Amino acid sequence: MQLKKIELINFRQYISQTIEFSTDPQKNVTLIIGDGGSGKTTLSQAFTWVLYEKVDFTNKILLNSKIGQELDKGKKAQTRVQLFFSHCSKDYIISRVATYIKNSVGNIKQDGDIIAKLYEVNDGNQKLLSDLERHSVISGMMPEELSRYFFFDGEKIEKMSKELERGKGGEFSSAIQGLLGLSSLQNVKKHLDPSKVGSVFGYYDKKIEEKSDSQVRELGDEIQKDQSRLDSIKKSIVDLTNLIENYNKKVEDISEQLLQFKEAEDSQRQYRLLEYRRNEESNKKTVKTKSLLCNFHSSNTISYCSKDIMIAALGELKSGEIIDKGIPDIQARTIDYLIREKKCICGHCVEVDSPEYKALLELKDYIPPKNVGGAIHDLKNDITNKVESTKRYFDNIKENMEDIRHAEQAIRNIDKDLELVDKSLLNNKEQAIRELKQRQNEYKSRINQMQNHITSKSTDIGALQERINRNTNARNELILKTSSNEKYSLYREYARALYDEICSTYDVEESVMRDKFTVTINEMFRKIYGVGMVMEIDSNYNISVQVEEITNGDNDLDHSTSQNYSVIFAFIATIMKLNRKDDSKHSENIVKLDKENYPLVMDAPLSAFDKSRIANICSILPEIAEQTVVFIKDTDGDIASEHLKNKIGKAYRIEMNGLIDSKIIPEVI
Amino acid sequence: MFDKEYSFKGKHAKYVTLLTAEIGESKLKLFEKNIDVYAMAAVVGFCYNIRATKDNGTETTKIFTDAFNNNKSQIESNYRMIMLLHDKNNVSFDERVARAFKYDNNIEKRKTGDEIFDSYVLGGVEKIFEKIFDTLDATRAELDLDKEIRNLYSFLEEFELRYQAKATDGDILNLCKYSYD
Repeated sequence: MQLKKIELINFRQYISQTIEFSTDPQKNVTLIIGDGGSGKTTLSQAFTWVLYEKVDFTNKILLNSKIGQELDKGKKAQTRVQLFFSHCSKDYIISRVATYIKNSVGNIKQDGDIIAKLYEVNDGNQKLLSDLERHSVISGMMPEELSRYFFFDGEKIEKMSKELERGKGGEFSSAIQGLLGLSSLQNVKKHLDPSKVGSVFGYYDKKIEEKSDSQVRELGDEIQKDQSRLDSIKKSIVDLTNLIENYNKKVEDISEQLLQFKEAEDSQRQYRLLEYRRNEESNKKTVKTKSLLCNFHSSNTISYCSKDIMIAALGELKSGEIIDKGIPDIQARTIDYLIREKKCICGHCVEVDSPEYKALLELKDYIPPKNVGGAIHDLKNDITNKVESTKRYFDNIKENMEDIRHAEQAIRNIDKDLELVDKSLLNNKEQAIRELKQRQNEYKSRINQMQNHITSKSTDIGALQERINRNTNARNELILKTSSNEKYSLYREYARALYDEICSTYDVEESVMRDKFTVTINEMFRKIYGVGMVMEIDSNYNISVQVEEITNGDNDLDHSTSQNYSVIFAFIATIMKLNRKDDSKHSENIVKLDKENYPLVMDAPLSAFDKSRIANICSILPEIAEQTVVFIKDTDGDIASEHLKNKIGKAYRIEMNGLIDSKIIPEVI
Repeated sequence: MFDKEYSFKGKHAKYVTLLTAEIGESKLKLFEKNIDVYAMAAVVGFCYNIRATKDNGTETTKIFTDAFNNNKSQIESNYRMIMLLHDKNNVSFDERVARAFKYDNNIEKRKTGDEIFDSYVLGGVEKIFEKIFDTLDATRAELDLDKEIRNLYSFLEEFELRYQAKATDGDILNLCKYSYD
């Protein structure tokens, strides 16, 4: 299939726009540049609408809003998309038209059916094909269930990226089933499923029941009721499981928020602890300072500082000659007495101011209480006491000082640590944390309750199933007794056997295709990403991915955008490859497209990739399909120019005029 | 001796006021009372051989008689030792002994000794202030407890080093046992 041109008339934000696609085999890339909201997804969906009348928009009214606003009440307008393409060497034009009318209250409603027409173009002549022929050509060219892989918009990429992060593979499951054409098989299974009342099996079962006796009928009613109950319980378990998953997600979200708060909590705690320790050290310092001053204020300080003088004084006294002119046992009061009596001991008179008088006065300086020897003796005693009492004086002062210094150093260290605490995290968020934790606990409690429900229901399932089996066996035994039921019983068994055969075929083919898919996607990933990955998909389509390059110390996919997108591109490349006919023995079972070229229309978020990978992506993209239409953001324009330049055949830019009118302008790269 | 009121004047009064001031929120003081400064200053002045004369400034701070009474023994001992050692080269031993031990009640004869002692006190005040505040400019002196404590410790450490270089406690005690008779 090769795209040639697409025309959009009043299709969402495109009032009248045309894009011609590059058909040059060397320059097979058509580049379309536009920012978010400009209309890239609309363009992508235009293809699926014109081919299959299928869009993913919530609003099914596709008429351009401006045209709709300007429409008078009661008047009609059309939305039309026309795609020019070739397939198996024939040219075609497919158009699809939806008519809208503005009703009396001013609302836009669809008027009539949407009309699709397919024309085969030959030598300039257009031949209209019938609806049946149109379905045949389109489904033969590109079945609807596979079309989603050739028209790959950004939202799908986003969805798959999130699925990968959760280890889920909904899209992978759809892809593999689509490739195998298993969707039809799925439908066959549903129709034949013995556990379903409305199935073929159920029909024959009922037939048997109608003709049987009352006992069989009663058993049949009971089995039917139990089966209904069983279905209902299984459905409620599925609902509960989905609910639990939602609540788990909410619990995870809150945990992430709490993690941020935890950092703040830790910082606060650390800050308070540091402040506490600082106060402790500060108090210690104050205590030691007081102790030092207390020592200093004692009388020992003067004594201690005088030691140097003491040594000198004692030495001086030792070296000097002390002449003590004192008279033994004569004291000052004795002299006073003699002076008062005016008579010496020897009987001589002592008059005032006489030489004897003066001599006696002078003598008083040398006898107690003014005895020099005595004074010196007192001084020596005083010095002795002071030396004894100051033995540990400086040691005590020194210890106090060392303690003060330790405390000061500790305070300095703590101050440094305090500066490092991020004060922006110190805002008081206790209230918010409390509320979050409360909410989280509520969710957990609900999850618990639901899990208990599931457990209880699972028990009920077991009991019900057992009863169904028991009743079924009993009923079968009864049925076989009546010959008229044999025929329907036989048909029913055929239906069961067919169902079993299809199930086993389905399971085997699905498993093989899943393995093949896994191998191929790993190959493609290596080409794109430069290193290998090991992707494993189990039977429930839970995905685990390990990338060879070391990131964050382990090999698990770290869910970076670049890696996720590389996986998705590898996925698309794998779809393309596996759709080709090959000679493998399983190829017969794979839904094969006709062997010709297929286009790829997709979003390419180039700036999400590492620079080293962009070159790989840009070389792989044109090789994935023969014709590639790539949507990129405005900001990725330079990246595209650098890496895709030689492959770009045509380029366009989407220019927005508000939200309701976009124009597609050719761009020079 | 030391039975009368004493006044520091001028810059010495400022120094003593700052040395006995409460420091910041701690309300701690380096020297509790003026008499403590006086007693320490005498020793410091002599040990560092610094003497000073009275300053004529208007600022005044006093030591009352009671304070001297409570510290008399300590100050008298230091007085006697300083008198015994002052100007050894020029004053005879007998005169120094007399100044130290004999002139206690003789105001006239004690005048020279008192002036010498007083000059050592004032010199000592200046030295103590300089050591604690790192300046002799009283207006620039900042009351900073941490800094004053650090400087005080360094000051005391100088005494320790000075003393350790000369003698031990044992040496002093042995000299004390020596009889001068």
